[in-house]
Amino acid sequence: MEIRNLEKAMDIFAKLMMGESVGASGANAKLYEEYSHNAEVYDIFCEMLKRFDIKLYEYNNTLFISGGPSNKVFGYTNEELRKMMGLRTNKELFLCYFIIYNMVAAFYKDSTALSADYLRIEDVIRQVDNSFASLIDREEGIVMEQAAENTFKALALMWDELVAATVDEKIGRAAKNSKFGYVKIVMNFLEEQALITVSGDRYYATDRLKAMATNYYEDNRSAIYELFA
Amino acid sequence: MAGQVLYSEIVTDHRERMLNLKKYYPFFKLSEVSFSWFQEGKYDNLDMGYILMAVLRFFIEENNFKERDVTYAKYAVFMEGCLRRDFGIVLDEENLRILVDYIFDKLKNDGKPFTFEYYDPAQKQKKMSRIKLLESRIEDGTVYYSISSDAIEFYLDTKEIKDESKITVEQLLLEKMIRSNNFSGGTQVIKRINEEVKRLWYRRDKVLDLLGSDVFAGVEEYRNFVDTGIKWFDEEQRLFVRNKELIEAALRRAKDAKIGGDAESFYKAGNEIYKLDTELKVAMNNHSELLKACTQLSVRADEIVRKAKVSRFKKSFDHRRMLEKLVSSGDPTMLIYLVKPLFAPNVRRSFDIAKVDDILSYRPDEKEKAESVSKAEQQQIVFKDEEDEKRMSSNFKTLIRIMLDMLAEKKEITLREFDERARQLIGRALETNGDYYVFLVHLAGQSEFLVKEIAAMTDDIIEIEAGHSEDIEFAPGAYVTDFTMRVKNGNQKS
Repeated sequence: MEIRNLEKAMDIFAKLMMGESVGASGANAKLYEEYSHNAEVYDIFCEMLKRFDIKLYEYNNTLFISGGPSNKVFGYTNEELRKMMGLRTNKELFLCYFIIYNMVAAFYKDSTALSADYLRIEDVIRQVDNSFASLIDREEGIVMEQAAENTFKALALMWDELVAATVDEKIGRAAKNSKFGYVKIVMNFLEEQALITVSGDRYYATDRLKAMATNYYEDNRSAIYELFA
Repeated sequence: MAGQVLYSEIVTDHRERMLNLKKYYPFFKLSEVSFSWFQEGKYDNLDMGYILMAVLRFFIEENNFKERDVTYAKYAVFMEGCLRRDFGIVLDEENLRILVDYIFDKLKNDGKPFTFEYYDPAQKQKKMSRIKLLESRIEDGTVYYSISSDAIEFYLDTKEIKDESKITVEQLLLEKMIRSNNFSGGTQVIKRINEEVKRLWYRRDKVLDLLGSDVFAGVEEYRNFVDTGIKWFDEEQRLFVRNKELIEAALRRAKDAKIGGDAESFYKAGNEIYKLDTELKVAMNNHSELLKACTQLSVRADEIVRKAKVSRFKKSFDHRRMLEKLVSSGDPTMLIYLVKPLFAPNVRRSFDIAKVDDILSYRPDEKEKAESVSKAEQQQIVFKDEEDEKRMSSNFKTLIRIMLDMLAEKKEITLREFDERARQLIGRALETNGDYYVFLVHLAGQSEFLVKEIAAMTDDIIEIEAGHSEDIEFAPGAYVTDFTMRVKNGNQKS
C-alpha cells in the first residue's frame, strides 16, 4: 500500500466528515477523481468507512455519507436531535420524524423518480393529514389513554389537536403550537442537514436527499421490510 | 347602535325560533307520560319516548316510502310486535287491545293537537302554536292515519336515516308541503336539500383525496360513499321531477283561481310558488352536477386502484406503501430506520455539563450473585425427651457398671458402700445428678432384678434387701434407708 494512496483516502474521508462536498465538480474534484480511478484509494476509503460503520452513496457524481440508523459514534441520539430541533419530548421528536418521512414520500412516491420538484409547507401538512386520516375517527371520540401511549395513534391525536396555523405564521415562525410551526421546525432542521434548500416559500430537494431517497431505501429494502415482519 | 341591532334580532327572530322549536314539544310532553297510573302500573317499564320514535318511523315507512295510509288495524299490528319484541309484553287479545288503544290515544293527544304556548315580543302577546304528530281522514267509511309534516321534520332532525337517502325523505316532505299549499315551508325544505347536496360534494372530494394518499382506506371510503350516497341518485332524480310537476300543477291551479276571479290569492300564492320553483331548479341543477362529479369519481377510483395494483410489481421502494405499513404497524420507533440515515454523520460531539450529575449518581448494575447451593446433610432432629433418655441410659449404665464391679469384688455390698464408691469415681457431680437418685429409687423399688435385662452382660440376678443399719445421709438433711445388694446366682461375665 502506498502512503500517498492512504493519504488521499484519508483526505476524502476527512472532507466528507467535515461536511464538504466531494464530487466531479467543485473544490475537491481531484479527490473525487482519485476515488473514481484509483482502485487502492477506493479500497482504503471504503475500508475506513466500513470500520466506522458509515455508508457511502453516490448521486450526480457526488459522494455522500451517512451514519445509518444506529451508528453509536457518528449517529445522533434522540436527545441530541431534540436539542437541535428545540423539542422537549420523544413524542414530539417522533412526530417530526414522521413529518420528515412524509416529506420524503411527497418528493418521491417511489425511489425511481422525483414526483414533485418542490414542496410548500401546506403540501407537507396535507400529506401528514392524509397519512393520519385512517387513525382519527372523530365520531368515536378520543380515548385519553391512547393519547399518552407511544403509538402512531398518539402522534395522530397530537397532530390533530394542533391548529393548522396561527397568526404568527405570516412571518414564518417555527413553533410547536401549530402544524405549520412543526413543519417549519422540521424544514429548518433539514436545511441545516443540507437535505433541502429554500427559495421563498418553496422547498427543493438537494442532491443529498436525492441520493438517500434513491439509494438508501433501495439498498436496504429487505432489511427495512423485515423490520415489519 | 350595536345594542339596537342585538335587541332587534332578539325580538324579531323570537317567533321564528319558537316555531322551529315547536316540533320537539310533543316528544318531551309524551316522554313525561308515565304508565304508573295506567292499570295499576302494570306497564311501568314502557317508555313513551321510544314508542313515539318507533311509531313515527313506521308511519314514514308506510306513508312516504310505501305511499299508503295507515289504518288503525295496521298500527295495532305494528304496536303489538313492538311491545312484544322490545318490552317483552305478551298479553291476551283484550288487554293488548286496551294497551295499544291507550298508547294511540296518547300519541294523538286524545284527538287534540299538542299546544305550545310562547310569548311574541314583537307583538307583545302570548301565542299558541299547535302541533299534530298524526293526521287522519275518512275515506269510504274507513279512518286513515298519516304522519304530519311537523313530525317528519322532527324525526329527521333527531338523526339521519342512514339506510335511506336524506334527500329522498326531504323530497317526500317537500311533496307534502306542496300538496298542502305550504310553499314557503317547501322553500325551506329545498334549502335543506341543497345543504345535503353540498355535504355529498364535500364527501366526494374527501374520498378522492384519500384515494390519492392511501389506496386501501380510499377504496373503503369510496364503497361507503356509494352505499350511503350515490346509490339513491336515480330515486332522488325521479322525485325532483315529480316535485317539479307538482309545483307546475300548483301554479296552474293558482292561475285557474285567478281566472275564476280570485286574483289576490293568485298573486300571493304565485309569488311563493315561483320562489319555490326557482329554488327547486337550482337544487336539481346542483344535484345533476353532483351526479356527474360522482360518475367521474368512479372512473378516477378505478384508475387509481389499477395503478396501485400495477405499482406493486415495480422494483422500487414504494414510499407511499411504506407509510401505510408504518401507520398500520403502530410502532413509531420504526421511523428511526427510515429517517436517521438521511442525516449526515454527527461529528460535533458535545458534553452536557448536566451529565456530570448523572455520572456522579451512576450506579452500575449489580450483578446477580449466584446462589451457592451446598449439599448439607439433613440434620436429625433430636427432641428433649430423647436427649434425656439417652443421658439417663448412659448414666444408668455407668452406675450399673460400678455396682457390678463392686459385686464382682464382694458378693454383697450396701448402698452406703456403693454410694461411697460412686462418689469416689464420679466426684461431687454425683450429688447433684438427678439420674443417680432415680437409679437408686428404682433399685429400692425392686426386690431383685436380672442384670441381663439391664446390661446384657450376665445371667446374674441381683438381690436387693433392705438394710438393718442406720440411714445414710445423702445430702445435708436428706436421709435414705440403706439396703444390701448381693448376687444371687450365676457367674458374672465381663
